[in-house]
Amino acid sequence: MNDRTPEQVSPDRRRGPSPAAPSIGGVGGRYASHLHDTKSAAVLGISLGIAFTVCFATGLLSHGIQHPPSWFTWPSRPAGLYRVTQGLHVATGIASIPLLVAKLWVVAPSFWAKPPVRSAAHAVERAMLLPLVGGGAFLLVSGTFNTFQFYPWEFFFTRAHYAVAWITIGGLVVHVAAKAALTRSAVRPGHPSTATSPTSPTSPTSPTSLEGDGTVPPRAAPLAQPAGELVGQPSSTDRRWFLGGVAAASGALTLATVGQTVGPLRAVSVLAPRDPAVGPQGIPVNKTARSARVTPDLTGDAYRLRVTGRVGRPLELTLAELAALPQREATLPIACVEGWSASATWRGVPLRDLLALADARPESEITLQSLQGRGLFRASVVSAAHADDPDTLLALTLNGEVLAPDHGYPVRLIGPNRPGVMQTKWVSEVQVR
Amino acid sequence: MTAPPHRPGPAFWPAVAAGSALVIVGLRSLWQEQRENLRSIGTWFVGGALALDLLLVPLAAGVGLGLRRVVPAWAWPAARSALLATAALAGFAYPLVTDRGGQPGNPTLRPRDYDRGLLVAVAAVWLTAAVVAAAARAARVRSDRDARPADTRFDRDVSAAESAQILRQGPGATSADEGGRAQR
Repeated sequence: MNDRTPEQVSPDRRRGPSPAAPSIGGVGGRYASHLHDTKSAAVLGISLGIAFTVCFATGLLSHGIQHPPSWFTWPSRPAGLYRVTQGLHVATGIASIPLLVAKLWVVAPSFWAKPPVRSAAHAVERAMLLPLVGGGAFLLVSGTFNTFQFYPWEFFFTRAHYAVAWITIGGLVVHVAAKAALTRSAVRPGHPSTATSPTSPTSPTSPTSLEGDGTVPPRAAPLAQPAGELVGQPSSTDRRWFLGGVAAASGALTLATVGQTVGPLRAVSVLAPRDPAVGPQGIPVNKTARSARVTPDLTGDAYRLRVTGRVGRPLELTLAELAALPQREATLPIACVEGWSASATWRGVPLRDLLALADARPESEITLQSLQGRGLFRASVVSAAHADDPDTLLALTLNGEVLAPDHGYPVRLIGPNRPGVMQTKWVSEVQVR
Repeated sequence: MTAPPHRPGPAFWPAVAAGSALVIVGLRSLWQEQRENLRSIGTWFVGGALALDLLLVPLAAGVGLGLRRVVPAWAWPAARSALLATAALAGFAYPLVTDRGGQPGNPTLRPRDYDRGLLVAVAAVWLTAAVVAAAARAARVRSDRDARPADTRFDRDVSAAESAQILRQGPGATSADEGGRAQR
């Protein structure tokens, strides 16, 4: 039993969630909803700032692993690290979709601010919103469509996505610097008045109709404000409902998709473009043998694996000869840049054993060539760190069976902590430099 | 995007320099790698910003305004959240349910029934929203009742018939209430 007196009951609690009025009363900033407030914008801004930073960092990492600059070495351990970073990249991007829409809705009055530009700094700040908003939308849409392999455009996805990420993060740096003080003051605890911009005078006609039973929403932003200011002053309960709702929407979209890499959630991820258990031998496929134009005549009796380049003893091995070499088993994830991943047990010849057999010098740079006739990913570089890892295998079996054609029969590379596109399938040649 | 301080902080101009440098890195990369596709990239870039600010946000506001008139006030916050989640799920799933893109001959890509998936996800969202809204309403009713300690007749759960009887007896008639409590 609650024994508080009415005076002890917080106004918010008595009020309960009151309705918002998300309406546009006309261009010029007369937005009706009291939810267009600085604190909501600040909370959403912080969330998006974190999400975009995580996306940028993990994306940059993925780019660096695939196109390593001379000073960068990606380790082969922990084996599942890339699975985590790239899973995080895609999941964070997807979770950002409702956040971005909600953020733009909250700050929409500012879009119509009059005068549109108030100073040189304001002009620069507003101009830098184009890289941020345009870039953010571009990245989220193109990234999502890429996971569906849906390309309704002419540009090359990976190059454009990478370049636009720099543009977007440039916009973010300026936006964070411009809004840091306002955001800090808006989210500082014990500052109820921070619902409005500290730089704008609090309007004498700020919505007060929330006092009372809360059933009458404020109908319009106060007219005494400079048009376009975020003048909303929701109760903390209303704001919690709103922000909680945005978080829930983000969570719903995450749950609906993240099972493509978090196996236990695959049953609830009804919109995931991949199911980590669906595919030949229980593993998804990104490029099929057919689309790679790898035909049975290439993989039949005529197949040979060659070890060439700077080796003491060049090799040319049949599949039977490869199978006769000492084999090693490893349970490793295959983690695609598109954000799905699945673990499997692979068995084959450790690459370093094969290199030793060919009398290759340690620390050599290795390039694997595929039977795949064309395409960007028909070859991959194996750094010394990965070539030396005992679990980097030229695999012949997957989950106890001979590799399915779509998984790279007769021989594929599988190594710890590598992007899926660098786990070359249908390997025909090991070039040593 | 709210009104900026008229005098930017000390970090603003250095950040403009750094941010512009990052933008230039990106533009340079586009120019070097995707020069022939700049029109397509520009369309999606500017189109994305305009679609968000001029289409999606006003649409969200319009839908919100329309539905607010028909949804009871106590249910609106939960309904609004469910609407946002529905829009996010439907927008995300659009290419999946309309069968755009994909890779012929690769059944491991998009292996699910996405029409059904979207329906299930949206149903789950609205069910959750309904439960949350009902729970919040019940909590609010309880809270309002708790806020009236002078009237102790409703300090316990009473049936509708019992409460009608209590009300008929008028203020101060707590003997039946006490009796009822003693019988438990």
